[in-house]
Amino acid sequence: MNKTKNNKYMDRRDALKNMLAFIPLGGAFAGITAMGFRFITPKKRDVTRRIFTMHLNELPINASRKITDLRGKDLVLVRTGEREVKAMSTVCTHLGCTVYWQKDNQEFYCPCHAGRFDKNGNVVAGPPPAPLQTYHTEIEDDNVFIYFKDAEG
Amino acid sequence: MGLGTWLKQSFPVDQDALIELTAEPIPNHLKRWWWALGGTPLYMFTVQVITGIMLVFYYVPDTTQAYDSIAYITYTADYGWLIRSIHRWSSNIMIASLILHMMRVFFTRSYQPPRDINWMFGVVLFLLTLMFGFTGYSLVYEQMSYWAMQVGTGIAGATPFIGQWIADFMRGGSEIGQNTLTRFYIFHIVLLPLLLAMAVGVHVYLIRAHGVTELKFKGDENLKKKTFPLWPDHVFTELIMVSIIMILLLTLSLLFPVQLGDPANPNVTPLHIKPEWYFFAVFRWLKITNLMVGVLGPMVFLGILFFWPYIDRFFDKVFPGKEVGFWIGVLGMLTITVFTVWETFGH
Amino acid sequence: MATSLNTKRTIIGVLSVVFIVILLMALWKEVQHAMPDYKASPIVDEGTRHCISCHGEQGVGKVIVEQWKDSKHAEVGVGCLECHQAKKGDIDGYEHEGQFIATIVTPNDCAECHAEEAEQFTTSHHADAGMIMGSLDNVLAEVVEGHAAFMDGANPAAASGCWQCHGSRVQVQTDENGDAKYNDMGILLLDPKTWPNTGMGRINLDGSKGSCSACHNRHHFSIAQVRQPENCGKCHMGPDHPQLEIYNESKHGINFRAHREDMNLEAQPWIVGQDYSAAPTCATCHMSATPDQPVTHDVGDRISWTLRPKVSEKIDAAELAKYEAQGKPLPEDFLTWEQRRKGMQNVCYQCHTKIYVKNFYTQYDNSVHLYNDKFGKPALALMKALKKEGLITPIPFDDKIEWTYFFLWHHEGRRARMGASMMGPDYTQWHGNFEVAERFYMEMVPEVEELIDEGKKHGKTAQANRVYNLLDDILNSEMHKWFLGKTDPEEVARRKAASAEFRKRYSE
Repeated sequence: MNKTKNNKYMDRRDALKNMLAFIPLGGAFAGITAMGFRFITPKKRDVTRRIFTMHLNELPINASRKITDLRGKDLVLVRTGEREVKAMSTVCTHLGCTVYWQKDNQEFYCPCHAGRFDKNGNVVAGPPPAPLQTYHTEIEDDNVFIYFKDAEG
Repeated sequence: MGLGTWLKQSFPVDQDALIELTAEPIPNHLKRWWWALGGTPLYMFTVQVITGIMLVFYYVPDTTQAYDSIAYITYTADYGWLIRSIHRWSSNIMIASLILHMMRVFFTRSYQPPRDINWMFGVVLFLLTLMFGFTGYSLVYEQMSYWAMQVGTGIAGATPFIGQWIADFMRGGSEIGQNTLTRFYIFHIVLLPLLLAMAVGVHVYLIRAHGVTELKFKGDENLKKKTFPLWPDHVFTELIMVSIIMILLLTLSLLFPVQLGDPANPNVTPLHIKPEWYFFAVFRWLKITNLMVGVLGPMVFLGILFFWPYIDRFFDKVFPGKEVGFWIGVLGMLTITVFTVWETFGH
Repeated sequence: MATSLNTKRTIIGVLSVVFIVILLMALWKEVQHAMPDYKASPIVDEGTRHCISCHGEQGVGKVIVEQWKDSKHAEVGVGCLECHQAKKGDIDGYEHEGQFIATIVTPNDCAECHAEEAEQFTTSHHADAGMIMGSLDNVLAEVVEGHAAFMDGANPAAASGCWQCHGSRVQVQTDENGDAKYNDMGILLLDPKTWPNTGMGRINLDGSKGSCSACHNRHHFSIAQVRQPENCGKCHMGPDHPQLEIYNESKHGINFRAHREDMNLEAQPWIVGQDYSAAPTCATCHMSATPDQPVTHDVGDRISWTLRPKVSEKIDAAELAKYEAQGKPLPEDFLTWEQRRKGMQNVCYQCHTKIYVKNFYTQYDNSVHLYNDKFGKPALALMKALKKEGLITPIPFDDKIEWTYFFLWHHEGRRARMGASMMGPDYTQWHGNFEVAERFYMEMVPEVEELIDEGKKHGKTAQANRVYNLLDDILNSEMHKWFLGKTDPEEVARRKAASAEFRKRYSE
């Protein structure tokens, strides 16, 4: 039996034996901690889906329509041409508030920090760093589809 | 100033006192594995707190979402099945090791004064742990959960005088519903942990203050020292216990992962309803007696358990040398075992 | 007794390794049990969400929403209003919770997105399934079995029977003034004898023909469900056209059952030989894609014979005759029976060799010709004669022989032909040709003879004699003369010898 008078110093053999015993133990606990971390880290789903929105004949040229995703965020569809539709998110690119469409000055206005976007989503005033996010649209058989990225699990 | 000095200034720790603490001599009989049964439940409690906190990340205590959130944990979240299974198995093992610990203390008569109050704290700890099991199981809000709440609050309600009040308090009303779930949630993750932590604190303090009962075992008399060091010897023992427990928990979780039964249906009581195994004896007792006796019986049992140091001393005085206490203990264990086994195989 | 420190350390080391091993097993299990397919939540607009807020939550048709949530429609954002929204002026439309909707979704509505399928379907025979108003079957339902005027024209025999497969003509409930009736929630009331109904050839209020949900069960609209043989079997079964039973008897059906999990029924595309090869289903041959053909919703595109009528003919015969009579040229997209057969054979070639298929078609053609020539044409001629000569009344189904004949061609005769067409030999033989023969010789012939005698008794001697001559000609013909004992003597002798040989096996 080893006599350890003073737990500050151990001889080398002791140290090696200790390592052999405790490194695996430490590793095991590290492993289970890692599993625990995985558990509490939210799942990320990066799925882009092709969603049907409406028929082309429901959207006259230069008119816009609003659709909502189930998370409550609105998307705006604007028919910009004969067979061209632009889809924009209404989430302000500054800090995530929802913008209002102001018909009078044809602008999107963000109430949080007074950011402004024009009807194409480009920033015209205020702190937003980027234009409104657009979605890729596709017209098939007169049906308007958008490619919507679903990030939540 | 150097880093070490800076830290020492901010955290004035008495180095010598620390060394003295860690060099604490442990009586020899603690080298025996039976004596690890006290630390085991404490470690399991730690496991429960950690896994419990992790589960809280996903659990929703709403009657319409509880079941689904547990389904998410069990079937979807990464390692969710593992965390949940560990939590469930750990609760079972905690109670099992508690019972073994109580048996050890009982049959080694370590409850004698001045440790009588500590024994009572121990009984309280046991009851708190059972309440943990009861409230935790109800949170799953599957059929068994719901009907366990119904039966459990019903039993509480049958307590003389204060029963109605207790039942309403537990239920958060006169019916099982959202209020009940919220309350059980609060009990499980806030009130019971606080109470348990405080009671454990007192329990451990008292053990340290009184010193562990020194017992004499054959073969130990010849040892030169009557004690052995906490570090590294006893710590290693504890580490072995920890490893064994972790392996046991993981194995059980791998082989018997916890599943989900049918979601709670207030209109349909399942034909075969059973509580958790540690309630089997009480459950069977309730089946064979009327409500009054059914409720009073366990209360009497708990009363005897709680005041056991004094009852034991009484018997010692009246029947010296006959070791009545021992035989009562054996009888008690047998009764519980018989009822538990009866419930396991009967219906 | 106490364990030494060294030992303890060793134990810790060993246990830690065991701990790690078990952790690895947990890791393995986690990786295996990897997440089930992530089901994205549906994305729909406000209108649909309003529908769901009532119909999905408060239980008024809650399952509809549950099924829809699992469907492809929900995944791509097609919600309630995309199908149920009615246009201004639609007869079947009504106001409901701020929207103008129609209960029934017709092929016109589905055509908004599924234009090609709807068009193919509308020009197919399936869409015409409801055009049975003047048929004999209709007489059976409305006159013989049921009563059209019973209970204010409820027509139960048709409403619960024939029309459930063939399709009703949807009607609105009207009040005394002839105006449409609504209930107290403003919902348009449909005539209960015409709805609910998802018959294949339903005649809808918007003028369109058919019902896509006859096959594409709502609201799941599951592609796997629609490819299953049982789907077609809702209608294509039973004593008069047991296609499902024949398929189940055939090796095609047996293979399907044995290898169902390998059928890849959810796949898109679903091309035989590429995406699955275990067995063909109804859809495989009659509709689905092959490497050389696209999917078609016109189920007649690959059919060469029509096995429905009293005497089978090629499927394009009637159309061809029409064009000839009118002196018009054939349209460009006219599919001849040869072309259709080629289309079907293209499916066969995915699994079978050309010789195999050719020989099968020879067997099949021969079977149809046999039925036509031995029983189909003669029996039809007899019935025509009986009617023409007035030996039976003009009222359908009031003479026994009309029932006998109906069984012969409409039930047994079809079974014999269909059994041959889809390789169900028991249906060809015992449910088919055997019963045709029995019906003809043991029932029809005696009944004709009886009617001839009856006719003579009632002074219709000349007419009766004409029918007698016809019957005589038939029975003396090559295929029927055995019945009169006129089999050629060599053949009789040969059969006798063969029979003696056969009986030796059974020591009778």
